[in-house]
Amino acid sequence: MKPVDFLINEAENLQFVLDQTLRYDYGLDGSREFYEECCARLKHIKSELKIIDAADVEVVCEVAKDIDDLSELICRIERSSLGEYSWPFVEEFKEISKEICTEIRDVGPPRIPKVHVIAEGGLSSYSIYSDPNRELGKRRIFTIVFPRTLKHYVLLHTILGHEVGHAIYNLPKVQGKLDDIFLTHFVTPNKIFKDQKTVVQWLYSANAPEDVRGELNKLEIDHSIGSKDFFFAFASYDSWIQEFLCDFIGLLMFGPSFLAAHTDLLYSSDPNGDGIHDDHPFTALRVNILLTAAEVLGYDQWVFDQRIQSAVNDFWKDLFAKRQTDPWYDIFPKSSIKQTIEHLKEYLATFEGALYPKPAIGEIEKLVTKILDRCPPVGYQYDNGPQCSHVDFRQIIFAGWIAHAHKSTKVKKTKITFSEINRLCEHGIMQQASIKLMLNNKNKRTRSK
Amino acid sequence: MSALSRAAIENRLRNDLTVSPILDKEQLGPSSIDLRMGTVVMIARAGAQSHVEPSAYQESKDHDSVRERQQKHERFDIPFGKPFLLHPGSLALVPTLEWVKLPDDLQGIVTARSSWAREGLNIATATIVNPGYRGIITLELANLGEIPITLLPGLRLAQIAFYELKTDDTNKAMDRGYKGQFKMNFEPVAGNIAKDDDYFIPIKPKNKTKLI
Repeated sequence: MKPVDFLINEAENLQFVLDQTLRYDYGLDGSREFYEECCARLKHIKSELKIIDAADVEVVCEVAKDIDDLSELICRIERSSLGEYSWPFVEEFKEISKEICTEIRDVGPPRIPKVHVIAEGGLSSYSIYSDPNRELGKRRIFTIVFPRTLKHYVLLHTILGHEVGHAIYNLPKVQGKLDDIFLTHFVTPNKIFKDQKTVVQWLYSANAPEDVRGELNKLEIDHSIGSKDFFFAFASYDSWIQEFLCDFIGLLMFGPSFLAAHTDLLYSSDPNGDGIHDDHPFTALRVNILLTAAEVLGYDQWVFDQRIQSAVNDFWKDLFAKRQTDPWYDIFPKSSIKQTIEHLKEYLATFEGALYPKPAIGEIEKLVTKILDRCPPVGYQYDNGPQCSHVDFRQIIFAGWIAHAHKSTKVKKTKITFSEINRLCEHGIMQQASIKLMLNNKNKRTRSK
Repeated sequence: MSALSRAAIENRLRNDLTVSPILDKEQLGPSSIDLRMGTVVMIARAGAQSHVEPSAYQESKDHDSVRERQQKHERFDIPFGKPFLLHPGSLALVPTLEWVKLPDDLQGIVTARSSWAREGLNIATATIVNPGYRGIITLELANLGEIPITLLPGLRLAQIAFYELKTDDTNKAMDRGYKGQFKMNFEPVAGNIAKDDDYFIPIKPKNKTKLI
């Protein structure tokens, strides 16, 4: 079969499979927008196949890639099942990332991405697949992936703030702005990370930790990769830089909860923080940077009511205990982290809902008290009648982390497990959605009077 | 045993009784609180079991028992604004939206709201909520009518009234908090009909595998 004929056949297969996806309803928004978007893309592909020059290898490869990408997208959607991920968390997450993920174009109206959610894989599955940068359809489709086993673990889902960083980095205008901030204030001024050569010198320096030297040695023996081709044959310098950036974005979007989730998840598979990865810098380096960034943002200086201040202190004590003390990891001065985080914060503040807001006075205390009382944390209390209030779901999650640090949850008689705290917080986020519906409806009725 | 009046309920809500969240003061009646539908529905699957068998609850961990329990109900997440159709003759388990925490001296009694009953929706709930209970309340909904009923999370389907217990001062140890099998539930779970009744259930012989 000739390549173009094969691709024409495959395009018909895609249509068939796409139609079959309508056997089920996917996700909260249903299937209509996704189906129509995929049909639009398939129509574009088919029209290209009609006029394609079979001898133009480059174009044939491009169309084949488009078919492949669309096929993968459709298959992912088939695995989207509402019962396998935390829809209350997803709805709130979509709300805060909607504006930052909206694509502003030179021509045409802004494009709000379509978001789908699937659950698969293990602890390292958290990701957001975004469309490749090609004008194929009307809207980008972002697919958020949650680890299947962590469905209810909303405290850990804050790691998705990092994944938002990757997703928006694919938007050309945003990428330009982020590069401008990050390269200017974080990368270029740094003696080590300013370019690949200096990073390699640092990696292979004599004062690198013994385990790091051991890993590099192993890389040489097993794969013949040495200092000369470390970034050529193994790791990606650009990916490493992007990881630092996405960590900052995650911290700005989710606050202290992101830091807690980040350290727990990353250190769970890399306890010493010195594992060498092709697309991620050292865990220890990332955590050290984030701890400094949290200090710069003043997160650890917030004062709470004495009921929970001790738990807050323990929360930060546990986090700072994860700082790697080997000075080899401290290569980014506080001033540079401060400059970078402040500029990023200023940029993210232009997107409604993106920045983690400082909790209101008494807010976290009330939420933590509910959790310790084994009730879902929500903006509700009963005084002279029921009183409901708006609470950002990120505060519910932060309260969860503080409750987890509270010593009463570790005492046998009053023990609340991490799993239970996550369930309570997830339940709280769901209930808070009902409060939001009620309050918004009340406001509409008041305005219309 | 007397039911709490509205004033008494409100007083307890300010102190040791939790029904959270109460979205609207209209939920408070003269002697009860309306309860809303939550966001999960579990429907017994037709054909999943040939009959309800108490002995199946005795072996909890082998493949067949676990499979039977997992496939017994079909579970649906119903976010706010999405409808669920309850067909005639169907039995659905739904949680309340509200989280309830009862102090040790109060018992809850859950009944249907009559407006729904007139549409054919019967709430055959486990009507007693024990003192000390905390969690969602499972509503067992049956459509006794002839046409499907659309259910939406957030709608007020049931109501709970509260009764003060007469405690025994000489034997306070017996009047401790609730320790039942449905402690701190976030969604409906199938009960264990064989719990503590093993001596009445004959042991089923295990299937012997034939060796070829």
